[in-house]
Amino acid sequence: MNKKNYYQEQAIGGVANIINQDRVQEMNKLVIENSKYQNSLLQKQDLNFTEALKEVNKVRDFVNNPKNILGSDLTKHGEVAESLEVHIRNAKDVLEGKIKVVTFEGVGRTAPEDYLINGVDVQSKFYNGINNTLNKGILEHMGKYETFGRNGSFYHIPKDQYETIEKVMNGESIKGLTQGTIDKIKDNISKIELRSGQTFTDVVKPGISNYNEVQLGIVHKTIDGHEEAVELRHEKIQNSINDDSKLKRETIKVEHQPSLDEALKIVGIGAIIGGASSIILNIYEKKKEGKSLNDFSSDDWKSVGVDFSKGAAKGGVTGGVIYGITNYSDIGAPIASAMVSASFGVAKLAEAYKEGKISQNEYIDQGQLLCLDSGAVALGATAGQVLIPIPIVGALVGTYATKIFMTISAKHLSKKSNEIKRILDREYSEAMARFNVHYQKLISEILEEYENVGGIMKIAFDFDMNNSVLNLNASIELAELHGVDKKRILRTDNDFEDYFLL
Amino acid sequence: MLNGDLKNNALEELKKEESRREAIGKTVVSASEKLYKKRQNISVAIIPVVENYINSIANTPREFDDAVKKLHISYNKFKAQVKLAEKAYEEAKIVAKGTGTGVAAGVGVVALAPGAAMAVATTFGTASTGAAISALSGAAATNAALAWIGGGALVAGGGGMAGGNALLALAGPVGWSIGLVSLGFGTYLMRQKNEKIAQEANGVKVKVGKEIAILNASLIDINGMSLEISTHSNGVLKQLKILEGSNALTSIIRKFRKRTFNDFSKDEKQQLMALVNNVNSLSMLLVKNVKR
Repeated sequence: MNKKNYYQEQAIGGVANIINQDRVQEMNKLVIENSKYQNSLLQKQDLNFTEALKEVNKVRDFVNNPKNILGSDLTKHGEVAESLEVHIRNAKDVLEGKIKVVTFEGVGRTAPEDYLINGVDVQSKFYNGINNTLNKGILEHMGKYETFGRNGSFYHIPKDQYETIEKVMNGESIKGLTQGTIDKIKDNISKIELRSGQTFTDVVKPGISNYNEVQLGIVHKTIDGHEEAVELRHEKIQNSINDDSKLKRETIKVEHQPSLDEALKIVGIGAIIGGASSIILNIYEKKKEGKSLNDFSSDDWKSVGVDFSKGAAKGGVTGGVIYGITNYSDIGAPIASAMVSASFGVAKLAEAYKEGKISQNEYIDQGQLLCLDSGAVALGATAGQVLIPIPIVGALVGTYATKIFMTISAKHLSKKSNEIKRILDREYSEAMARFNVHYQKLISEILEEYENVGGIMKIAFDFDMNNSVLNLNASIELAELHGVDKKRILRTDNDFEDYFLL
Repeated sequence: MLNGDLKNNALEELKKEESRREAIGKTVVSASEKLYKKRQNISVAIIPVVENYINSIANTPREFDDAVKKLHISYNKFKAQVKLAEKAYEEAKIVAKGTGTGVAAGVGVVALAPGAAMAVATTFGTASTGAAISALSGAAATNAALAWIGGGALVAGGGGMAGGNALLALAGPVGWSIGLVSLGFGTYLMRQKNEKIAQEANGVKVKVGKEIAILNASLIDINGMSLEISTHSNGVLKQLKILEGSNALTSIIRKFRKRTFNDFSKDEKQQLMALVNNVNSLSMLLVKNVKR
């Protein structure tokens, strides 16, 4: 079982997790605030829209009820023009969230003004033909009311007529108008300016409607047009609210992305954790050897310093890598930490293998164990963090529990391994014991045979005893034993005669 | 924990057993070579001399060299096999050059040079030559098994790493469950695999152990044969010398006439018959094989 400890990586991972979470939580908070604000704006806009439609409907109501309208049917368009002027202007303002500035309030049925804009009196004059509007409309009214058009109050005339007048004043040519009419218009402008003592454009201003738009037969279409414009404008405002919010949210996200500054912060914290734990371990080990801090030599302190630098470097790298993994992939801090642990462990093994300190088999075996261990720790730390929602502590407890579990498993499993080993050893010795019986029999057969042959040979080739009969008999026995053809074995005088004397 | 020690241990022990077998195999081969040389020597240095002597006495020429011929026939048979062995040897050498010493050690034929193959063939006999060579150089088979086992472990290791990475990428409770099960199952599989390898290695070790015992028995047999043929051929030479030293026989040989029964004493007749029997026995010893 490898002795790799995962706590340092898990602790640094925990810190990285806290910093990441802080940033993400801050971002989430801002995004939620932004969304809420967006909703409130949209709600308000919906209210404005409803109000605007109400204003538009006021014109509709007015037009649908001809009783309300003063004067003859032929001149009813004048009141329609007033209603349009007041309510459509208000509808547009309300839609934009502004207060209504145009009102009939405080205007008597026979007062010189028709309505008030921002408290200023306005008289609306809609006559057929420009000169009728200027002459019969404005000049006559100025004659009737001596201060109107001279004390800040002014006249509204049809928009199209006003535009034509502007062209006349600018000396532009106008289709469909005779020179006489143009001259008349110029004359009327001069009269109005003379009587008011102000420029024409100060006294006379365009209304929102053209002359024909306010006529009874057409006005419904005009109102529909305004309503449509209100709707379109409403949509546009909604879109711009949504676009603004989206832009703002994107800005928030960009501002809360992982940053080099933050990465360096975690590298720094990692270095401190790594360095500090190395120092503590170093001092702890020296204390275990029986040295008290007062006994530490300068060399001892030097080794503490070296350990600190090494631990700090490793811790820094750990912090940086974990920060990178957690922010640029979907991997959580506990698993990222375990990955870093495994990487360090495998790197160490690879180094040992390269230096020939461990064999390839050991490298592979220990690498497998390490990855298994890291995988288990990754799961354990993640589970710990979920079950114990205290930052760092959860992951560390999970790691500790997993390590204990793995150690117990390892003990249990190596016990089992030893059992298997014993079984295999027994199988081998039993097989060899069985075979040995057969083998011993074979060996004794071989030895017996050679002993037997050896004894006969001794007699066959012992010529000192001067006993040729024994020599011959032994030679016969040997020939028989070695499988010489029986017919070729010489035994008797006859055999001698046949062989030598024929 | 993953039965890795179990596996490595078993493989290590198998390797040791394997090298024990190699060592005893080499000893058997060199004993065979010694026996082979001794037999060649006897076939040219003793049998023709005895044959000459007998024919100087016998009225009709007698041949002993049918045994020698038999030996040559056997040798010719072996030679064909040796040629095959030589060819394989050369080919294996070429392969070995390309792939390094590991293969040279792994290919059994290389371990058995042509001369040794001849010696082994004559010692163990035609029928069993192929089997004998493979028994002596069984390293090939076992090494192939080792290579398979090693490769298997490597492949499994690779899978383990890849599996680990896939696991680390998993997230969420479902991922954890999958991860937990994979970890457990992976551990179980790896243990099973290593245990199986250990068992196989143990099985091969038993086989190798038996082969070592058989080679031991063969070695005893070969040494027995070697001693036997030495004693026997020395005995024949001694007998020949005694007969050649007999003045009576020498005078008979010098008289160029047909010998009759009464020319020989009883002892001389018996000794001459014994010599013929002994030379016939020696011829049989030249082609005797290890039968066990």
